Amino acid sequence: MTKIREAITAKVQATIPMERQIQGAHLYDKTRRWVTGTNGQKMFVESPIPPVDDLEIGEIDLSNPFLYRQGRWQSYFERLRKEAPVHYQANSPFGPFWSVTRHADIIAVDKNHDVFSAEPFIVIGVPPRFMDIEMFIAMDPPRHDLQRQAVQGVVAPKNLREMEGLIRSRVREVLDDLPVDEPFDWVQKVSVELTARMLATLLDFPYEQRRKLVQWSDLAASMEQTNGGPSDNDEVFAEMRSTVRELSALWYDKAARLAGGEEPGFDLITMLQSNENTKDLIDRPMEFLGNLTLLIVGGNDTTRNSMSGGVLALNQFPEQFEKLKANPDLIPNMVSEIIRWQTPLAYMRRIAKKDTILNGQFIREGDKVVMWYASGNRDEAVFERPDELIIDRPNARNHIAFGFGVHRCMGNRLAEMQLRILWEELLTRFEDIDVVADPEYVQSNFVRGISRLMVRLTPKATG
Amino acid sequence: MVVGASHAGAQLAASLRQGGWKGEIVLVGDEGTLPYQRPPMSKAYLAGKNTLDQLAIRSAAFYAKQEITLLDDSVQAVDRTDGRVTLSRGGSLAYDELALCTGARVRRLAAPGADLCGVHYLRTAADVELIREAASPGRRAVIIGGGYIGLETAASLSGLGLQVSVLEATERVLGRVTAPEVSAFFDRIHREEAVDVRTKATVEELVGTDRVQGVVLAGGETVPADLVIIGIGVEPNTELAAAAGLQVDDGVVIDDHARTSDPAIVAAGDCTSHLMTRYGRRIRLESVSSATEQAKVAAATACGKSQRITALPWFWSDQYDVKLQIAGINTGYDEIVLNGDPAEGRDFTCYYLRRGELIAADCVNRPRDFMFSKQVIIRGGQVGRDELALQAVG
Ligand SMILES: Cc1cc2nc3c(=O)[nH]c(=O)nc-3n(C[C@H](O)[C@H](O)[C@H](O)COP(=O)(O)OP(=O)(O)OC[C@H]3O[C@@H](n4cnc5c(N)ncnc54)[C@H](O)[C@@H]3O)c2cc1C
Ligand code: HEM
Repeated sequence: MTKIREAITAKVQATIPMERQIQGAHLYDKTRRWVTGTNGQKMFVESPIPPVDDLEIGEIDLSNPFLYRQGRWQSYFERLRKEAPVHYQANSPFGPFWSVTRHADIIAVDKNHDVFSAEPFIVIGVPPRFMDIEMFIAMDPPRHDLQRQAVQGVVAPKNLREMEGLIRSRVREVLDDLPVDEPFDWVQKVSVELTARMLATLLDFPYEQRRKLVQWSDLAASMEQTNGGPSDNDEVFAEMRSTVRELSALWYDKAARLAGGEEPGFDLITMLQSNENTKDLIDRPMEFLGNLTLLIVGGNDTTRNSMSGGVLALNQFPEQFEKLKANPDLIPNMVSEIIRWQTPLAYMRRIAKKDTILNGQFIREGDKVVMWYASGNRDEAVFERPDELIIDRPNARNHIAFGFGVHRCMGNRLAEMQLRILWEELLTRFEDIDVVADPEYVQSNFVRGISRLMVRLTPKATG
Repeated sequence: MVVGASHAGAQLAASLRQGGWKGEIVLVGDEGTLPYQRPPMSKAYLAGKNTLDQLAIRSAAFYAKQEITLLDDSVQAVDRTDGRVTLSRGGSLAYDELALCTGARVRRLAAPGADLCGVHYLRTAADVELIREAASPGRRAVIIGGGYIGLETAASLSGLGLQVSVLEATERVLGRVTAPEVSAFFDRIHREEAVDVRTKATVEELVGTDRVQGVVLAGGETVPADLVIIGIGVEPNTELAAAAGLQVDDGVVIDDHARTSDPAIVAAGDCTSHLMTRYGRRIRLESVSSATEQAKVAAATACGKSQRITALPWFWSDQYDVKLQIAGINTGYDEIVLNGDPAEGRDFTCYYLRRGELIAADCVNRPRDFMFSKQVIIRGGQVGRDELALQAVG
């Protein structure tokens, strides 16, 4: 059955132009949303979330997209880690699912791809049609491995060294332009802007149009299946069509320049074009799109929210900021600690391929299993004083914000490098970065995001 | 010339260079170590979780690179007319600008037996080393004083496996600094961790033959002890300033620019007393944040720039898995608003209001509330009571 579906998909992909395919997927998604009754509807209405102790254990629903925003998540996770580390929620608006909340159990699931499949997708809800195919984050080996191999050279250490200088100069430009002594939104002016620049560097995307990458990615990630609705999937698909146009233009433009004798760059597309297995990737449009989208989406929210989260955390724990200023050598360790503390992606989802037992709970074939990295990273069995940012925490690197096993984040070194450079450059310029208003948080059960963070910078006194 | 090499002194020296001070910088300290962070002394360092090297405020390389000379000596006298200081090890040094960062020392207990072997105070790394040597698991430690330092010490020692008692003379722990509800919370937490907390326990005398064996209370009861740690507050080191004829009122009096009554001398840190307009009175603070802030301002003043001490004071305390963060100073509060329940669990915030305005907050495992409170107080404290009661948790 699946074989046939795959064969048909491959066939369709090879013959129908990419844009048309997206259109088709759009129609499909519309129909499905109509059938499943989630057509732009709010699945959750924001209402105050009760203290966890007011609930029966079975009532706890971690898929509530307001849990993070309302700041209740810590106590919810803590109770599950203590009382029901492998917990079943039978009636969520996204259907039934298991929650795995302890560090050790999460690693056990993430490592065991024979039993726990990443297919067809990795969020709790049902992904929209086009998102559920051809991204290797949602493929099992061996297909996963082949696809990942094709692109991972772009973030190999040697390539990162090539990118470092460019990334640093782009960071400097942004920081030198920031307003001082007056409040501004850190998310827009720094986190979004720098992430866009990083992704543009990675793809060698036309630099002036870099914000488009962010727009696409934001849209792709704003699906109601993670934010509980409503969101405008029509807008998403329209935007997808424009993405496709631009990315294929980028491909052909690169190919032409390469053919015209230009020095090959160290960007992703060049890399794909110079690899035997992927040099004709453009002829497999959904795969082409899937791979590029994955890198854009995968690097976008995550890096952005680590940049915002670091500033927030250092304001919540100001003695750590003092420690940092006294000892800038702590930056690399602090970067890991910030990523642990923020954990930009709350979880990845798996589906059991066969009946299995996990920490005493019987999980049936076909059950959804959600690995809550956000909880594992606050597991008191692994991290002392887990809710605190401690920039010289000796085991900060044991965090699982990048996942574990075959899917472990491909961009982890790039993200760490970007954050390290940001903090190195910040420390040489500013004495203080004060958060001056309550932050605003994203509505999502998947992305732990900060949408607005007003700060005031105090420049370093100079001679 | 900077006298006193701890939080205030180290920051002041560094900020002088940053602020463009071209001349020589001499940082005189009498502890025989690189300036180190003091708060961990009763916390992680006492618990044996880090070394003194890891706690250096700045590395030795930093001082070398910034051309800051560290002088291991103590200043005995200041001659303002000649612009010279006399050093204990002999000789004297001339200065153009003088900064006093002499900090504070522990208050001594005036009870018989307080000089017995096995009785300790806790302020310096040297103090902690002695305590750590004596703190083997199973031993009985008696802590005199239920303030932050006493309670932190209790938490660290009980973590090391000692049997710990805390003796507090008044009717509640932290009585001087927090609301009764917050005191009750810490009382409960320590009891839950098997620490024996006794309030209204006045110490009459310490007894023992060659070393301390017990603490005798006013009622006649003797609390057995292998080790006693006294944490009953500090006194500012103001003798040097007073002898030099500077104005002293509890601490060395400074203005908003960190200048003492002699405009050529600045001062910063625990040894100072500063008129804080936000609170309408002179306050001597004992906190790293204000020592650092005052030091930055003092350095600017010495470099001929004009900055003011305006930052809101804040403070923290770690005990077991409880992180208390305090924004502002609560003296003069006439109302509190609680968010969360101090009688249960381990997270809540206690907001302090004066005439309806927020002046301070004790946040227990609530960093978000802490950040929020700082913002509100800095903006003038206007906030609705319902907003405080509802304010996001976490
Ligand atoms: C155990 C403990 C825990 C604490 N915990 C916290 C906390 O959690 N948070 C917080 O904000 N604050 C805390 N504090 C308070 C904080 O440590 C002080 O506010 C801070 O150290 C003040 O710095 P300072 O430089 O003004 O003074 P000090 O740290 O007292 O340093 C003064 C230095 O000057 C030296 N000195 C004095 N006179 C002379 C002289 N004549 N010549 C040469 N040297 C001299 C002294 O020996 C000392 O080294 C704690 C204090 C202690 C003791
Ligand atoms: C701090 C920033 C980042 C975080 C927290 C993060 C987090 C994650 C997580 C949790 C996974 C899934 C791991 C698993 O299933 O075990 C993942 C996979 C992935 N990430 Fe990241 N990511 C970050 C930055 C980036 C960047 C900058 C890129 C772009 C190059 C990127 C590209 C990818 C890709 C391609 C995958 C799929 C890997 C696979 O399935 O084999 N990520 N990331």
